[in-house]
Amino acid sequence: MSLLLRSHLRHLWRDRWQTLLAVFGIATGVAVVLAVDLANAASREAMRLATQQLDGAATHAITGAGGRVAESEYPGLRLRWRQGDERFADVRAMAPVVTAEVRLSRASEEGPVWPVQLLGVDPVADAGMRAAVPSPAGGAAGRLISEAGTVLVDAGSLRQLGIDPEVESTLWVRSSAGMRAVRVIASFSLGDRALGQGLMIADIATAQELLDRVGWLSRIDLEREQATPTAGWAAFLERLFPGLVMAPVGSEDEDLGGGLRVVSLAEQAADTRALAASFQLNLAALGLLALLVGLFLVHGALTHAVMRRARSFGRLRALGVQAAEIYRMVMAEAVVMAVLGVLAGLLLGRWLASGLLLLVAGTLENLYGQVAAVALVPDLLPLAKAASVGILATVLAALPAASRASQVTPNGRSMVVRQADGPRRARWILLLLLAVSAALHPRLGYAGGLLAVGAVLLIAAALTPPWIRACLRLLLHVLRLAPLQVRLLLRDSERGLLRSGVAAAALVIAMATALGMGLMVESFRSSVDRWLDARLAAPLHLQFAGEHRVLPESLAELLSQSMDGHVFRVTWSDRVAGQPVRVSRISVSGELPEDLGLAMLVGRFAGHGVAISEPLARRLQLSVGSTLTLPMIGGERELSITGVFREYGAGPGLILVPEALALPALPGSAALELYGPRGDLDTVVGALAAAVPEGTRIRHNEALLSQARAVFDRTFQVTSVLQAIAGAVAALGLFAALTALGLERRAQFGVLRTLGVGRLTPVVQNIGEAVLLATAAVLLAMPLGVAVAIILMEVVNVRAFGWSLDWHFPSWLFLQALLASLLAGLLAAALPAWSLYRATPAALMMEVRADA
Amino acid sequence: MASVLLEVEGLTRVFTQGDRRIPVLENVAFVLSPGQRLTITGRSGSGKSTLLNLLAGLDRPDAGHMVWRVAGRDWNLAELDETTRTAFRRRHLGFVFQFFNLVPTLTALENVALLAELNGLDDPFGRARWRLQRLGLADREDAFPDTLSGGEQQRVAIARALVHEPSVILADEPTGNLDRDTGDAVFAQLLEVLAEENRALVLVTHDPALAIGGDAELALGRAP
Ligand SMILES: Nc1ncnc2c1ncn2[C@@H]1O[C@H](COP(=O)(O)OP(=O)(O)O)[C@@H](O)[C@H]1O
Ligand SMILES: [Mg+2]
Repeated sequence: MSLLLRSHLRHLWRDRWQTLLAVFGIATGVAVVLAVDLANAASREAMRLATQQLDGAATHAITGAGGRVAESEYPGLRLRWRQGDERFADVRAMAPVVTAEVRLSRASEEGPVWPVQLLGVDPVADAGMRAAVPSPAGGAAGRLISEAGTVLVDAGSLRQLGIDPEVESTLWVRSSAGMRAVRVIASFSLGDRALGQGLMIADIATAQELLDRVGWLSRIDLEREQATPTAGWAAFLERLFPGLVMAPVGSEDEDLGGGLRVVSLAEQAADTRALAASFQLNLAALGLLALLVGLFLVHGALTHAVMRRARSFGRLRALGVQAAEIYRMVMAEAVVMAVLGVLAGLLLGRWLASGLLLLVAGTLENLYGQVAAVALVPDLLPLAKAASVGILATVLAALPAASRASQVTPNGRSMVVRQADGPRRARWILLLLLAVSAALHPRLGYAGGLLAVGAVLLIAAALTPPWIRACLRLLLHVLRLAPLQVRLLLRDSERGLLRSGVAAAALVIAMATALGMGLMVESFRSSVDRWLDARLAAPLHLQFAGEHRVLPESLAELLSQSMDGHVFRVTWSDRVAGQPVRVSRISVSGELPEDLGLAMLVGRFAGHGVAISEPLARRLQLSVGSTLTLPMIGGERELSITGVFREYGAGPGLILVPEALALPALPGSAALELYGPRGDLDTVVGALAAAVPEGTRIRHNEALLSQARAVFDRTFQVTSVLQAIAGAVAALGLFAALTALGLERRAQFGVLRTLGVGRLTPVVQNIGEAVLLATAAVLLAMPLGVAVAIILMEVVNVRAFGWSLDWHFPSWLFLQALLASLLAGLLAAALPAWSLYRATPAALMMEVRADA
Repeated sequence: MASVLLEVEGLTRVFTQGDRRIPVLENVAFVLSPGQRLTITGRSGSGKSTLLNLLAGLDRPDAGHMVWRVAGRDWNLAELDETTRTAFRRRHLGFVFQFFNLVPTLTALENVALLAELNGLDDPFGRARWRLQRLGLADREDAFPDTLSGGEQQRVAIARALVHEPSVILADEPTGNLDRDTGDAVFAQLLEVLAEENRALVLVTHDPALAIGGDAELALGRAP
């Protein structure tokens, strides 16, 4: 081994803790990038699987006139699909369904009755479509098919009826077709999604018999490939940055001929899908920001390692070692550290990803009652990406340190660190400001917004040292009459910025990110809350099967007796200015909240015009007062817009047309919102269940509301975990810097203690410095965090999803940032302070000599 | 016999390095009177600094004791606790180091005032200013140490050692880092002030020239 290398390795060994911290910094950066990618890919897959459990994997359905399809059509359609009919090109699965709302009871006479949805399926065709449907390979599926009158019922419903879900039992099914007995051969769990309504699964034939509908299907479910980019650059980018690339959402009814239509089921799953998309986008952004923090850590550690060795480099230069050799030596060191860090980071990242996945799985379990099959999607690309990003970032971060080391002159003193490089820094900040404004150009879309966030954070980093210096100088000025020890603290802190500045910058980035994300999530949450409140203001929601034009006569009377008011909407798909939209014709009756309880952004929902959703308004650049042309029976109609309302569901834009303007109406999917039940809600539900047409789904909105909130909160927990990690990494950087400063100041504290300064003084100085740094850092992070939040809310969200958010700035977020920052500072200072406290003055004085 | 300022008896200090015992001081004994000058000489590594550390209470002996008689009280540094030893150092001892060891982030004036302030004396800056004036540094008050020459730094250090009116100055090779002429000048200034104010000096040096003229000399044995 060359002696040069040997001396070098010994240095690394002597500074092993600092070296280790740098390696750890790289590792954490790599780990977070990898974990976010893996978690994103997996959560996307899990969301897909999870929506399958709720509505089945079905994204579309084939329906016919009268809300049913003749069973004889099915084989022909299946054949067309199998033979590669281009209409079915993107269909993954096709499954017939017979469904209706029925009621269960234990006995044929009096006794408790419980509403369930009867779902008749073909277990073979349905394989993989719906989680509750038993696998065709299992015994339960076999018995469903081969034994007539056998069913599966969810355990919650059985318990409601006082039946042990573990044993077989006989139940009575009441439907419009009368009362039939069924054999319950097994039960399954629905979890929270039960929502006051159970599920009963039967074979198609059994369901048809129970409902007296032999020869008819309710619909044929289709699972279509999700519209993700599959080719070219878009696909590569999507794999490289899962969650950053968003597919356009479109859904439109298609005519299959013969009275059959393909309708999109997207509306039902829209809420969670939109939430998932925005969550993944945020996560992906956060992953990149975490890397930025890691990068600063590496830069700080390497710079420090080089500065510590200035004297040694000087001696080597004096002995004839070339500047280039020193440069190579430092770069080699960085590469070794990068490789170690990347290896550790990949392992750590996989581990972290499974932790994040547990959180995601928790969300899904909460939502769908079953542990979703969440697994890491094996893919080499994210690994390669994280590894190359880690090595590249390290090498980049090492370049300034290496050039600094190679500039050491033989006396070892010329490494005058450019502390007062104000102009250079100002140029950087100016450049970054230009980058921010360029990135915000509308043509760059939401990706530009994310770039702008990155640039803002770099500005934060560049501002950190001068900002802290200014704070310290101001304090020094204010406290000019304070005891010398206080001034000593302030001056030492300023001097130490050379070391601690980079770490403080990392802390500022982490805090600004956490604050920006936090503000965005809080605003998001309160906006979504208000939107959900408005959307689910009615306690009951009825979704009719099949297509309708008007409210069934039979119901109208019952409704006027049992409810204070209702909204009946018929919804169909259409196109406006080339954009797919959903149009709802709104019929109002009785007492209703103002604007139907919509979260209006501008204007109102009034009888003389239409109200449109915010994303549509933005996409078509429409506003109150402008008009849009809507095809109606009897020709196109020009309608003026009277209001724009918030909408956080995904899918095409929504247009609400008052009843009077939309006549004669097109048939479409029909739904009822019921307000102000007169009397007990369960009694009302019971009466409704008997009166509604077959296949009508009754939903309690209250349960749905709280569930939606729970899902939102859990989903964004992942974000908080990542923020906490970024914060911890920054704290670690601060710890490294303060430890280094502590080591450097041992000699000085040795002198002071010799002169008679108490042993607590170094502790107070160390902790005081950390507190000063942390406070100054968080003060800078606050306005920058707000800037990040503004860009995330006003640019990224608007451009990516077309929705704006209500500003909601809870003061506790700022307080939390302050406390987190202080905690980081205290933790970082604790160890060096403790080691100073324990050292005897004689031992500290030894280092005065060693230093000389 | 004159009164006693410091009494040292049977002082022994043994370092252990791994399983090797390094006896640096063995059975050292001497007495110092107020206003006297004691010179400790010996080769490098003979234990001079070790002895000085013991006298200052920076380190504890393995055997023996050193008792200071100051302010009407006996301070047995071998037995007092850390806090009391620190308080004693702060109040009654003054230090001059080989490498000056000024606090780099305090000005010359502040470096000197620090000790007066620590001791809670009135008008610390007035005292510091007066001390600097006496050493001819009135115009360098606001300079930071890194802008001072070695001789100037050592004179600031001397002012710092004297500002709280200690009974004794401990000086470890005070001229070791200065050239001959500067060293001699600074040392002469130190002796002058001490003589005027009747303060004792414990001087560690390997320079025979500085040893001349002291009241007593303690030559430490050869290095192990
Ligand atoms: N803390 C310690 N641990 C081990 N050995 C020490 C320690 N302090 C001093 N020594 C050793 O004691 C001897 C005397 O040191 P020192 O008193 O500094 O010598 P001097 O000041 O006379 O040159 C040296 O050999 C030194 O290596
Ligand atoms: Mg010595």
